[in-house]
Order: sequence, then C-alpha cells, then structure tokens
Amino acid sequence: MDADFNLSRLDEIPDVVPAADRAAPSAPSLAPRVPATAAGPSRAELRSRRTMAIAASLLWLAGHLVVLAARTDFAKLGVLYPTLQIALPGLLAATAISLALWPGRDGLGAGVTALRAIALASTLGMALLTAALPLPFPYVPPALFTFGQWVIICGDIIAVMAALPLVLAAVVLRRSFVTASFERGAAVGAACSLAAVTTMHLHCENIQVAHVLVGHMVPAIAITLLAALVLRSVTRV
Amino acid sequence: MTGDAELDAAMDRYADGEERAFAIVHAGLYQRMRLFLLRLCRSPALADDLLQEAFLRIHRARGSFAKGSRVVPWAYAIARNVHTDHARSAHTRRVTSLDERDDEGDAEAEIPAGPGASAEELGIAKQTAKLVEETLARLPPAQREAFVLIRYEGMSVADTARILGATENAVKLRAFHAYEALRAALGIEKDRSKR
Repeated sequence: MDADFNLSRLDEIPDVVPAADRAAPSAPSLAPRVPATAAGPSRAELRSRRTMAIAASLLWLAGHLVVLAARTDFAKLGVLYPTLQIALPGLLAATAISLALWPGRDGLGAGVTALRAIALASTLGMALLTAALPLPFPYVPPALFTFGQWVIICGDIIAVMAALPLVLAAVVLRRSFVTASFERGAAVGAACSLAAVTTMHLHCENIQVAHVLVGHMVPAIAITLLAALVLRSVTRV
Repeated sequence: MTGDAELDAAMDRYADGEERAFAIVHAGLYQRMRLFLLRLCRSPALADDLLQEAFLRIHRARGSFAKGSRVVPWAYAIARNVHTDHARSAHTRRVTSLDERDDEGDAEAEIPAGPGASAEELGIAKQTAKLVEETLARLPPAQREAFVLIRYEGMSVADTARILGATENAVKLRAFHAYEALRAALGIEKDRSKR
C-alpha cells in the first residue's frame, strides 16, 4: 500500500446507486413485515438467562469436583505449580468468557485481535506452559492405569464437564454475536474447556507432563475448536 | 429523518422490551440499510428482500443490543451478515441488476452528472457509473464491503473494522485495493472516451 494513501481519495470514485434511489422514501408499514411472535427476548431476559447459565455451569463443575473428590497433595505442590496449573486456567477462563460477552464501546463486542489472543493464549498457551513447567517434586504415576487409560479417563471427564456449559452457551447465546462469531465462539469454547481443566486439576493428582498435555490440554484445545465451529453459526445474528 | 441519538435511544427502549419503539428504529434505519444493501448486491428487488431479512434478525436479536451503543454500526453488521449469507447460498435467485434496470430508462437519475447536464455529460456519467458497478462486482467481497462502508456509507475505518470483524489495517488494505482497481478501471475508461 502507498505510504501516502489517504482514504479521502476514495471520494474520487462516484456512487453506483442512482440519485433517485438515494432520496429517502418513507419506510413501508411494519404490520405485514415483522411478526410479533418472532420478537427475540428483551435485554433483561437475556441477561437473566446468561446469569442462570453461568450459575448452572459452575454448579455442574462443582458437583463433579464433589463426586470425584479434590486432590490431597496440595502440601507437596508448593505455590508455583497450583498458581500456574489451577489459578491461571481459571483466570483465563473467566477472562475469555468476559471478553466474548463484552459488548465493547460500540456494541459490536471485543475486537478480533483480542478474541484471537485470548483463545490462543488460554489453550495453546496453557499447553506450552504445561510442557515448560518444572514438576514440584519427582513424580511417578501409580500403576493403577496405563498411560493410555489415564489419558482417556481424564479426557472423557473433561469433555463431559465442558459439555453442559457449552450446550447452555449455545442456547443462551443464540443470535447474540453480530460480528466475529467464530472468534467469540472460540473464546466461549476456551472458557468452557479451561473451566473443566481447572476442575480437573483440582482433582487429578497425576502431574506427569505427558499426561497433563495429552489427557487435559489436548481435549481442551479440541473442545475449543469444536465450539468455535458450532457456535459460529448458532450465535451469529 | 430520525437523528442518530433518537434512533439509539429507540433501539435501547426496544431492547428493553418496548415493542412500539421498533417503528422508530425501522423508520430511521430503513433507507440507510436499503442503500447499503443495494450497493452490495446491485439489485433493488434483492436489496428489499435482504432488508426484510435484516430487520427480522434485528427483531429477533434485540436483546443482544448493548445499552448505550450506536445502532447504525450494529444494524449494518447484521445487514452485512444477511448479504454474506445470501451470497453463500447455493440457491441464489436470479434478479434484475441495477444496470438492467437503468437500461429501461430514467437517465436523469444517473449519479455523477447533476441536473442540467448535457446529453454528452449524462452519457459519460452513465458509462462511469456502470463501470464502477461492474468493477465493484468483480472485487472480492471483503474488498467491496470495506470500500462501500467507507466511501458510500461514510463509516470510519474503526467502525468498518468492527462491522466486518477485521483489524483496522486489514480494512485499510482492502479499501485501498478496491480503490486501486476502481481507479484503474476508470482511468481506462477515461482514455477510451478521449479517443
């Protein structure tokens, strides 16, 4: 692009719509055009539904933690590991859902750059962090299950934990995003999957890097991608 | 014409559940959105169909309109989605385009030359408008949308980026490419008219 390109030069290009069509005619009657039954929920109804969906999702995750039982090795983990593997994904999940639902200064939501950044940082970023994070103590997984069995068990539980929040998101966010619905869907997916990962990290005592990467983070990335694809069309206005 | 502040306030009330406010929103947005869609699809009949669909989507998504926001960029984004969906549809109907309609008459309505222009000026103006329309039609949709929003709808680059769900740099680049293509086309046309 020319360094001196000035958008006012666009005015050199004449309009394609005839002047007669540019004159403002009166808008036609609304009666036959907009059926009253098709009216969407009001702002207050929508806010109430979203609040209930978030509350139900948190209860769902808390219920899983109660049934599965919280881990008992907190004393051995120190400060760094729980901060980066439990608090950080929880914080990223909260940031991702906030950003996805933020109306923005003009009502068109957060910019695509910010949405892409949070979706990538919260999934791929967490995966990279997991790979780089030193273990708080030398860890040998118990011989209860093989590596593959551990991965499938944790991956399945994460998928189930993320499923209800995602379904609720699809229901309450239907026809909500006028722009960047793919990126917003990815941010919602990242929020749901990382909330599930946080819950899993409060339960699963297997801190083996390969297990956390393949059993926890890979399902989270897959859920985020799936959510972006599904929510793209469902949430688009 | 309804002022933007009044329109925003009406949309706010409509999003809060006041059904009657939709009439004000409809009256205030009708012509702007129709022109926007007309510039994108180049067919008055199709623009009217897409406009109706856009208003239906506004009607259904009213609760997602954020309090205190501006309704025009929001509505334009919805209209753009409607047009994109139509363009992607495999069952796109064949409709009369602007140039076909223009051929039926009403040369007085042409754009670049004003009232009182000579027959030669009107002829050149008509030729220019047709060339612009054809060139716009050949552009990739992303470039056409950016150009139409900035040049014809008077949107800022920031608003256009928000409406298109793109970065400001991407929007500038798209508008620039569209401008280059149109300028090149018009330059060729001017050369021809000199001959």
